[in-house]
Amino acid sequence: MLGRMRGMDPGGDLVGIGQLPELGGATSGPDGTIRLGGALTISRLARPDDERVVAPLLQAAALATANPGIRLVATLGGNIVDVGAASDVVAALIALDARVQIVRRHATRTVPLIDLWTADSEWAGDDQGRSTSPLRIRADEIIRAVILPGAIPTGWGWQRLTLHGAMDRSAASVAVAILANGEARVVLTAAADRPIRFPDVERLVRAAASTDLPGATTGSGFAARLRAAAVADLAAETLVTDDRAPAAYRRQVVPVLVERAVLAAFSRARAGSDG
Amino acid sequence: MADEALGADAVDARVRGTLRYTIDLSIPGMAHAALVRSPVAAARIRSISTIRAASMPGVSNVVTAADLDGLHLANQRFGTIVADQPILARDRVRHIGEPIAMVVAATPAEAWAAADAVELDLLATLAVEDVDAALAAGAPLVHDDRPGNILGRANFTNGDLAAAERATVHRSSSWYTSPAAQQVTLEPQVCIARWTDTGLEMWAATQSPSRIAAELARVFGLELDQVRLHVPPLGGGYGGKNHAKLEPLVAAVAAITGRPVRLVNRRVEEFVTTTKHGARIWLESGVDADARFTFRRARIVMDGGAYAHSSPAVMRAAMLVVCGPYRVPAAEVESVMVYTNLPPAGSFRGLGANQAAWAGERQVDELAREIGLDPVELRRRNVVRSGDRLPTGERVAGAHWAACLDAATASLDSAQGPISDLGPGRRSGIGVALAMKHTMTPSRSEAVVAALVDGTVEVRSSLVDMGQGLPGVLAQAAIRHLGLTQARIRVIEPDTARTPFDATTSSSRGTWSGTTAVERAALALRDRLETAAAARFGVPREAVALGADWVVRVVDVEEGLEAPSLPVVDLVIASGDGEISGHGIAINEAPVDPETGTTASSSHWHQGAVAVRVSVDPETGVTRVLEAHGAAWAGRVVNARGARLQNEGNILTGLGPTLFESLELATGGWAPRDLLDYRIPSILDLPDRLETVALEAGPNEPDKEPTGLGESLIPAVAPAVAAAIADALGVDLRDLPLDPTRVLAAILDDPTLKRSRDSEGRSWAVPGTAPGRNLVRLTLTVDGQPADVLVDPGWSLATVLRESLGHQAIRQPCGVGTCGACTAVVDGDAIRTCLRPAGLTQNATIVTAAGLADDDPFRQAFINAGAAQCGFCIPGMVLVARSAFEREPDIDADGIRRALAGNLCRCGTYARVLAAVEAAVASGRR
Repeated sequence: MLGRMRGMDPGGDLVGIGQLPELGGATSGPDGTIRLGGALTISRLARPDDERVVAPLLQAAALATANPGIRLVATLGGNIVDVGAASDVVAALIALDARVQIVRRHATRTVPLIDLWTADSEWAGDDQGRSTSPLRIRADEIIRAVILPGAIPTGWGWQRLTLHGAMDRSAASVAVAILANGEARVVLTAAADRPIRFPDVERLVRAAASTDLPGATTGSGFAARLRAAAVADLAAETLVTDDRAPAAYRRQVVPVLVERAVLAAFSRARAGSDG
Repeated sequence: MADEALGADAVDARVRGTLRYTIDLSIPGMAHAALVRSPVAAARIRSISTIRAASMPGVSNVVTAADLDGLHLANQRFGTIVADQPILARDRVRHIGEPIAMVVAATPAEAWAAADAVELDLLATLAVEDVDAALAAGAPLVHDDRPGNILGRANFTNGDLAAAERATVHRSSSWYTSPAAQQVTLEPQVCIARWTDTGLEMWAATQSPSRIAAELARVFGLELDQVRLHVPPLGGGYGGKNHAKLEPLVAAVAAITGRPVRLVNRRVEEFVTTTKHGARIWLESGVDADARFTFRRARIVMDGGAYAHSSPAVMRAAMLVVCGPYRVPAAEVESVMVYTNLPPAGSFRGLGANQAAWAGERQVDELAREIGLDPVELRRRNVVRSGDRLPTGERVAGAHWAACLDAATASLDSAQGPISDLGPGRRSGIGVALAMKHTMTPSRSEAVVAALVDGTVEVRSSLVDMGQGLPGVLAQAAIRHLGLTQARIRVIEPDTARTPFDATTSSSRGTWSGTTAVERAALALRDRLETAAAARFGVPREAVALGADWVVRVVDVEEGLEAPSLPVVDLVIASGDGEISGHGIAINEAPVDPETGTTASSSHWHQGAVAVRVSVDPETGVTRVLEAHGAAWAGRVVNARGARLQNEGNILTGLGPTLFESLELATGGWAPRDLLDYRIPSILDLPDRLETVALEAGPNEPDKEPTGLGESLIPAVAPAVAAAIADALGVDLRDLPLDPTRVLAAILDDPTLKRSRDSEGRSWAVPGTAPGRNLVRLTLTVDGQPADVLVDPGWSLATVLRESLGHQAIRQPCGVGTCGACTAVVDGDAIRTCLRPAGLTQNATIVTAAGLADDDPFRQAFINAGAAQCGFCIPGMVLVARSAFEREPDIDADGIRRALAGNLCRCGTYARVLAAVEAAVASGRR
């Protein structure tokens, strides 16, 4: 609808799919996995009473998406497809190791969400359906659901920057989830044409999480190492210059956001284990 | 006496959404127009093919410049100060978005579809897209008769500069830049024209009815009384509706088609219609050993865009105040206004004083730090007091900047203690700046106050209501001398056939000039009534008096005798004219200096001070304004509610161009934008503490005349925030806006970090609603009434509610879900109806703001808090706030802000809105 309002009308008829039961609902399975319907609204994800099914990290990202009025109509699937690599919600979902279930006529595929941006995805192209976005997704496909694994993060952190007032879209969004076993995902969106992960930072987090040394995750030395690792991880990445910020600015501030988000995640993990 | 309740009716209509703006009007037989605009900045027009467009459904005319020839216009170009703008581009275009053709059709959607089908053959030519390119030797000329692309040049010198240089012990000099910005009135430019037997009749959203009427008379070769202009209340002005823009074109096309024609700018078109001037100012200042100014020297370069609009006035405004409200014995100011191939720049709240104060006040802070003196002390030491001379050499009679400075800094230092939001590593700083702005001098306002046969009194003025409270102020001025109850007084909307001349509703002049003209008119009416009554009684004029009960009585009658009396209504009937009226004129004359014989540049000065506290994140450059304190000189407050709204609005409107608004592109040039690309402050940008005060003259002080408050603080906002950033971090920023990329670039001394926007713009072809394809029957219940309507299911619900069903409280300023003015409650949820396809709302139950119960606590709270200025955004705010409370009954101030984050208000009423919602929530909980 927004595209149509902005003069990017692809033509044809609009088909309302928001009421299809297959696309709705937020449910948890016996194995602890959570299934979020593709037509779930962002405002539903942001609702605080859903903490059982929606991880607080996802909630925080949803709550920062667009404005309350848009959140009421914007859907999870729509956000992934339309906002994609610029989405706050996508950063949170990838940090939570989300998979997406995608359907088309007679076929269903389930892939890690981040694979929608990688070339070696099982989907290798499209011989007839037009692609509607830079995503590895076909014009005749629909995101039916997002599936989150049962493992609940012990700590999470989230940081975003807006440059043109509080209501602007993010110029960088960083999500961090740390699991009980020390495994971590650190994800950046809104700064490149695809989501970016930080392998060096994640290794550092794993190492720090597995040590019992007091102060291992609180000292300024750890913060400095985190930032340096983020700088190193970003060195291989191409960041974009767009209406929101130049690439050079993003390269400068993203390591700061990564450091803050990781420290916040550790802080939450400690608070959780203390409590 | 200030009256809190003044104008309560006007607030009520705004909160309900029942106030009719120009955009809500419909004239019988009206056709809809759409513009074909230039996609490039400079081009020769080789041909325009209208054949395909003309044959499209609903289209009656496609008008190009060649079609205007048949009208035998008296003038082919318009412009209040410099008539340089063609009604339609004829052989060349001078800026992106310049109108080339106009399509007239039965519906707006049909007009837009056909406009898209007009084929242009343009030969792009070299464009000058910034002032450097325009001023370069051999640059292409924007206008062939304007060598060097100079729109205007002016300068003045005052005092002995050589002596001043000798006395100087410290000097500072820098360039200061402010980029172009946009006024963003939520109601866009809109007008309707029709021709009648007597001439031209128009309805237009303009701040200057008399000026536009005169402009139209000039273009069409008509007498003034052959042009009739109606001006309903505006959904925002801010200077953006101050000069003729689309009116001559719409009038011309109405003449060609022989039908009434209506044109509404879409949001993308607003950005090519008028802007705030981009400016760069070089300023040098010297101080002596006592830190007193010895001289200031400025060079002002402003980008006027392709056509003059108000540019000469903006340049003059900047020149007058660039050296500030200080005792500066020697000053030299040069300025140049440049034509470029950018959209025409015009007035913006603060007119030129914003750009000037950015340089003048910024440099005061830099000087203070360089010489190790507190910036407030430096200002106190130099600020002009009554009787001093300004840098222009003129004496200022009523100087109150020192009082404003004291009040703003005292408020910042108040006992409440500072607001701190100091996350890890954040730094805090405070900053202060003064604001100084002239007013249009001389300028004339006339008013008529008429006693009618039905016992009511009509106040006629061509001052425009944009929510600044004018109808209430004018009514009160009439009451002061007639003693009537307000209920008997009606202030009519500007209608140039009935309301007398008024220069313009801008320059913060309406309160003074309107009040004065109406008071004089009321006195004249009173005199006529008493004279007529005295003649009837056969007594001297002094022997009668008009009473508050609208009866004239003989006074001083012998005890025991009944005083002869005569109701005013009887006098009116006896007059045989249907009314008895008084006429009043107010002209703000500039005082003449008896010593020098020179005339002052302004009858009085708008004066203010702003103090802020900010927190800055030195690692990201993100700045938050935690506190803002403003003190503005009012002389006398006539309308306390309006005064507070103006002061708070000055600060909120000012924060946008201070912190992030800019139309500048890295590549130079221009791109059309909408409100997703171009952000304005939201309620989340409202400082945590916002305190303002309107200073009044004490009982024994002179200067009790009410001074307008529309622009008294805005020039100080940017320099105050920059001073606070400098206080926090020790870096001096000289280029606006102070967005995080620029702050960080300054901290790290790395200019590559600065934001440089790309040139990707919006398409012109934004079909708010495509012409209907497969129409279906949609059944709704709206505000309790069943509705049955044929729609294209792909149309937005907003379009169906507003255009098909006539619910005017549903408004579409942005059309992209950003502003919230189209909010309605649909099946229990307050949603943006512009983003909801109508086809998905079959059988929905819909409530608009107009459908709320009279005693709805949220509506009442908005009315009680006076939380509405122009009011265009308010109905949406009421619905969103209500719905947030229903979802979350224990919602706190933070939650209210988050809930309203997507409801934009350009007047800057957020603090009042927040107060209203807090009150409603509190009463709802009880």
